[in-house]
Amino acid sequence: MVGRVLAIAAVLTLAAGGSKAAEVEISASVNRTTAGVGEEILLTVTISGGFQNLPTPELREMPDFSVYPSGSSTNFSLVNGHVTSSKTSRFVLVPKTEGKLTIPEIEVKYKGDAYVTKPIEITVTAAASPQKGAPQAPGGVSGGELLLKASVDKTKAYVSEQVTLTLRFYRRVMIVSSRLVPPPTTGFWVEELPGERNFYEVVDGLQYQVTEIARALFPTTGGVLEIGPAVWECGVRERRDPFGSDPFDLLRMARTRNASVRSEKLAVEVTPLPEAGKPRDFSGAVGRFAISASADKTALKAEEPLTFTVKVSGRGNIGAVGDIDMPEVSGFRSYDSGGSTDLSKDNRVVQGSKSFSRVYIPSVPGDYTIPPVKLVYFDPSEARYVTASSKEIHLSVSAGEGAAGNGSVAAAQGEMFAKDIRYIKTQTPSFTFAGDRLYRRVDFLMLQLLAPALIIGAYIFRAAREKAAGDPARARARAARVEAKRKLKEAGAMAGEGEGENAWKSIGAALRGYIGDITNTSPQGLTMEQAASSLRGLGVSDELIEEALAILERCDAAAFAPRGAGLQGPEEAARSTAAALDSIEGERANK
Amino acid sequence: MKIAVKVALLCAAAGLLAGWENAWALVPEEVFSKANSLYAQERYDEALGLYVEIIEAGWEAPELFYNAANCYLRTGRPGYALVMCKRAKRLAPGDSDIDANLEFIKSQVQEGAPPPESSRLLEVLLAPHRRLSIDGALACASASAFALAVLASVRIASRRRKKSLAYLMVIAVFALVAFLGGFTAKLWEEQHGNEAIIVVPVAEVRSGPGEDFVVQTSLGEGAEVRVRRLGEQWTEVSLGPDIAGWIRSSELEVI
Repeated sequence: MVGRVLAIAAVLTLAAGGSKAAEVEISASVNRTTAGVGEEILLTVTISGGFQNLPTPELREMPDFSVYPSGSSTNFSLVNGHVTSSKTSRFVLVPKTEGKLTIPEIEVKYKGDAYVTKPIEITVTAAASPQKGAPQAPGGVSGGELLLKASVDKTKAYVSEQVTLTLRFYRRVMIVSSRLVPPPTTGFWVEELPGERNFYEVVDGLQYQVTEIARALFPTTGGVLEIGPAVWECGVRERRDPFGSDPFDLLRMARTRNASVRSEKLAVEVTPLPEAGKPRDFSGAVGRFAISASADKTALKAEEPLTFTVKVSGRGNIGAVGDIDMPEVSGFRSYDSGGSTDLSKDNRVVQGSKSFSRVYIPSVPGDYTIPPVKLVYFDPSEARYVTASSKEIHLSVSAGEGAAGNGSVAAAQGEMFAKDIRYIKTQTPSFTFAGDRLYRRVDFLMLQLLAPALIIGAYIFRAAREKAAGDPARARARAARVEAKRKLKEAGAMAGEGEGENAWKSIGAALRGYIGDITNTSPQGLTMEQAASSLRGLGVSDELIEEALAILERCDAAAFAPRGAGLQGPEEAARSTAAALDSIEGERANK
Repeated sequence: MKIAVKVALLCAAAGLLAGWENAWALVPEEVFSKANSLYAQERYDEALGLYVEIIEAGWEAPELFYNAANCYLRTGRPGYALVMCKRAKRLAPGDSDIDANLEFIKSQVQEGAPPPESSRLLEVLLAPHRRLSIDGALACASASAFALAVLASVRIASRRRKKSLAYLMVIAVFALVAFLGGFTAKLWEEQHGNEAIIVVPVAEVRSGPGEDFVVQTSLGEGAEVRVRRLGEQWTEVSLGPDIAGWIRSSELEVI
């Protein structure tokens, strides 16, 4: 173990020795140093260091460029005990003027120190210029073997309306490598579209293998915008003639030579969005959208928060949808709780949804309504501005628990609530002492004894039952009183129903049955002498024996006497018999 | 001898009373209500002082930690806010407000940070119990055990062996094992998990316990680490599998 710790420490030490801790490194690069006016240049700024929470680069003002942030990514890794972290920020720069332009130093600050990149020189030409090394013309390949066709799905569009550019690369020769030089798209915002398609197509009677890619172009300005030629550079494997003059040709390695094809220029006529009738609350969205609103609950208590979510979804530049004006509701405090954007490019159409959330907290009980939320967008297919709105949401607020205790909170209408975090809990909690867990509580632990007690009880019950099954006399004696009392109860019921004779018979049967059970003899034909003898044998006192015999005599007399004689008081007799049985049981128990 | 025992018992009782003096002297409900009012008046520092007073007196409640977390966040101490929020979640794992604020705080302080080292077995065991507190898991285990005892008793006592009873017992056994496993895992997590949060803007991780050791890296406020050895001055922490370093003990807070 010690060795392992030492080894880890050694690894950590070695890892740290090579570089200064907490040092920040910053670098900047561009994807091209030559571009035409209006062409995109991708600027990548990377910051790295051996710690978390890297600072964010600050771009200085660049009046010669239009600057668009294009996302960022963060990477954090632990390798051999060394922590490395890097943050990459991307920006799209579009030159406004020609000449030698400079991307100035980019700076980050960490612990008071400034770290800067070197300036980057960019040569900007008047028009779109082909990149250095780009092919000028097809060479060595006959015109019909390679083709590059560019097309757009529409030649007339509104500003911010999607125009889909499709490039199809046709070939009838074997290609070993290829690279696309994208067409200059000055005046468009470009979104890559996923999904390369490969298929065969017959052109002029010749079958070609076709590769198709597409891009979504969003015009940023009005006028006739040109999409320049795209160039496809590729390495072509040469065909060899097996019947040619050189007999060794077949033995040579296959030869590859470079070739390229170029597409035609295209033009799109872009119409600016109409100023006439443009609503003041126009969101900037162009396409076709829907808006919906929902609340996570509609019945709630005062001081209970609810989350209200507005979702804008549809086809078009969803990213251009600005912040939605979330409604205020009288009697509610509210604060923003974030949002999200979900972008997809299914079927080569830029679409998606954007959500906005806001938390509302009612202060006073009552019925409330969150009014509809509106979104104004431009629909290019109908060439007009459209207002979409969500449905209103009705809320029912009841009095919250401990509302009286929250009076001061509820009254503070103007208070400021935490942005983006949920409000504090105002209901008085049930405090416990720290560490007072259930498993430490004696009452809980005692309660756990109930389960084994149940099982032990069940075992005892079963053992008793089995024991009783093995000793019928004992079992009979144990059940004697219960059985007798049941019969006495029936006798009482019979007496109540006017069946006095039967009641007396039943009382006698109960007493004889009881004596028979406890002495393990048959109650049938039990004489007075036998009963007295049996009871005496069990140690019952003479007084009780006499009482029992008197009851038996009375029962016999009442049961067998002529009708009407001695039939008075069977209920009383049943009660006194029951008392006598208890007394006999008591004496037996004391023995 | 008897007198000596009595004196010892009295001394022990006096010691206990002295230790709990703060707890008994403070009525947490009153102080909590007062703190809430201060929060509503945006007097976050004062509110935080009262919440901390309750905590230091030895009381706990998810609402208390949750409110304290809000105060810490409002006063610019997200590390402590994360600590409090995690303590609240441990007591009330199913509370959506706590989850929401925890996510928010994490999003503020842990951009790009790796998740803390955690046992996979522990994760599997804890998965169905994410919404149960340690007491909740134990109560469920206890209820399962009682149900199993009732079923077993019926089976022992009855003359007939019913299949349905056997199936119910199997279900009860599974429930008991699952809840007991969850409880054990939570108990282990509470007593040995040693999850800690960096509570200063930048904490330097050194290769040993002292200023003379080289700085390996630094961690931002809110970063989660696992404590291996907690010392008065320096604490050994785990940054990943088999990767350790030392941080000043005052720069982190164990949850």
